[in-house]
Amino acid sequence: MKRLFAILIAVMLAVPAFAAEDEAKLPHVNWPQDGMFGTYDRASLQRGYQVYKQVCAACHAMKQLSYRDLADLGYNEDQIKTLAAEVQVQDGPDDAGNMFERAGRPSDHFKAPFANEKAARAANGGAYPKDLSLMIKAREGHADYVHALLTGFEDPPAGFKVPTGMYYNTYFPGHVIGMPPPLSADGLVSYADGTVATKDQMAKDVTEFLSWAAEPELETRKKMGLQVLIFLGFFAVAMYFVKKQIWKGVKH
Amino acid sequence: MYYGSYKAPRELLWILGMVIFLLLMATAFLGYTLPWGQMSFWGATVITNLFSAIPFVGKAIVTWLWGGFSVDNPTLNRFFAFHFLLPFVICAVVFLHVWALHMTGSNNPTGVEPKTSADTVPFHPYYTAKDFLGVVIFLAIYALFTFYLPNVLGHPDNYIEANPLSTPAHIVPEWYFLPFYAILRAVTWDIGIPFTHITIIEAKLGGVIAMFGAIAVLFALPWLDRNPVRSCNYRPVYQKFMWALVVVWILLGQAGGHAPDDHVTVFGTDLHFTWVVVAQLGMLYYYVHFLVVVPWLSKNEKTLPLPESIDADVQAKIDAKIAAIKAGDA
Ligand code: HEC
Ligand code: HEM
Repeated sequence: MKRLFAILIAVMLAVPAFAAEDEAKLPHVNWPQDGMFGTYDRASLQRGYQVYKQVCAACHAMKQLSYRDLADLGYNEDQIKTLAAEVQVQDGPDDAGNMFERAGRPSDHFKAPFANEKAARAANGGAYPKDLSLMIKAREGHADYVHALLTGFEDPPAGFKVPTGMYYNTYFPGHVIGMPPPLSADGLVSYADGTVATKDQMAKDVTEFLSWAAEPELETRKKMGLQVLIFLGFFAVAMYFVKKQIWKGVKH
Repeated sequence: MYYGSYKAPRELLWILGMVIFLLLMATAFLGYTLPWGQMSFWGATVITNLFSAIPFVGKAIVTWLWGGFSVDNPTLNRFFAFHFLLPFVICAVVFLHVWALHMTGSNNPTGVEPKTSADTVPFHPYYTAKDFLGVVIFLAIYALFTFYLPNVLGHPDNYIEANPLSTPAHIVPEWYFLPFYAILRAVTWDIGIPFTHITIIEAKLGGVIAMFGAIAVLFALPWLDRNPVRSCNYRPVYQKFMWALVVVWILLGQAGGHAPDDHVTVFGTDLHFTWVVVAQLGMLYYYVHFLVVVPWLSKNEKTLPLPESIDADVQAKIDAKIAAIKAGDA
């Protein structure tokens, strides 16, 4: 048993000990969804959706989301219908064989800003604004990384050449990114709930929204996990005593 | 391995266990391709491409595996079918495994065969109760990862859709394959006829042979180690090598997780050599362990005296404990 623990500890030590130093340490944010009991902040999610819709959606798609998924953010059915109807989507073919435009429905996926990757690249100086649906899970550093990226646009250090049409970012690998600073000024959006839209506030809110988009099941998962662990905890203690009782008469 | 359970008369049991191990590796690899993220796609590409290293027929085999000329939808389709099928094959082999176990009976930490009924207890209720406790503890740890740390063991790149046009910077398999992956990449040199330019085994094929060889030696273990003493508890020298193997395995896992040309750093200090060197030394130890140390110790190790019986061993340990308590009181 002692040896087993020694191995476990050795493995756990081995992994971080050999970890390479990060290029730039990501500033850590205490996200409301962190920790064993963390849940998303609904008000922040709604603000974050507003930032996505008014800023990021000009370039980035989120094709894994449907408008009806927004119910999770606290919107009711009518609000969602209104939100969906704001976009025009292509449907068809109709009986005459023609494609046609119609107002969005809650079951439609979020409308993408560009028809395809080529169009997106053409509009962004060759860089591709990727789909943000799973972005938080698809990057090392997760929410901290995206928040750092959004607030990490700075003047390049002396001597660092940034090609035209590109921008310097402290946290982007290689520091040269094709995305213009999306949250370049305070007050870029005016929040419906009156929160002051500082750059950092917008970055936090939109990151919170993207976290939810990547892991909408987080709250259910943690709640279920707690029940499972409590059950298994009791079960383990019970089995420990059962085993002890059964083995009482045996030399070992 | 530590208690020598692979030795006569349990060779068949061991071989069946190795077959399960191999099938499990295949199933896990096939499963990992199913989410069809970047790591899925490129992992499938790297592993299926290994077969192209086979002389003459390699290319044809790979096309056959893929169902086309690259990893694509037909590949995904058949991998899903096999991923579904193999667990049932595993289930069948587990039955054979248990059958083989019932021919020989279980081994134990002393490695001494049971002699009288004092040496054994019935499976039920003793081991059903004990194993249940073990299963519940395992499930608790498993649940902790599933519900609270679902992303720690995965790779972020697998949340990016498979894209044949964009190769990830580092293609790495899941954590449990990392030591084998390190061995695969450790062979960086061609093997040829000395003083000529004739290559017999290219580095790529060498890596493939080394990796599959690492599993093959495990199949051969019952014949590499014929020392009549089973348990490492009575083999002081072999015991040390066994622990060294554990350490080397952990290091190989680390080497597999890093890019081969990255410098090894410990707590941020650069050690000025690269991970591929660690992988090569690890592989060297692995093969020396199984092909030199084990057969040599099999003949030459001075083993400790074995207990009279399992019961006698347990009694001796209890007596020692009581003596220690008495000594403490005095
Ligand atoms: C003007 C278009 C544009 C807008 C608006 C925009 N982005 Fe981007 N974004 C890009 C482009 C182009 C890239 C690709 C950059 C590259 O690969 O060099 C990118 C990349 C990213 C990345 C990926 C970085 C990485 O590690 O690969 C994230 C995350 C991101 N954007 C988030 C956002 C968020 C959040 C917003 C809204 C606040 C936003 N973007 C608004 C164009 C835009
Ligand atoms: C020995 C048993 C099995 C092992 C070791 C195993 C292993 C795996 C692994 C490692 C993955 C990748 C998960 C991920 O990264 O998302 C996977 C996915 C998958 N497995 Fe299995 N599996 C087993 C049995 C089965 C069986 C019996 C089925 C039945 C059809 C199955 C169906 C699937 C499916 C549909 C996926 C893709 C879903 C996803 O990626 O989330 N597996 N499996």
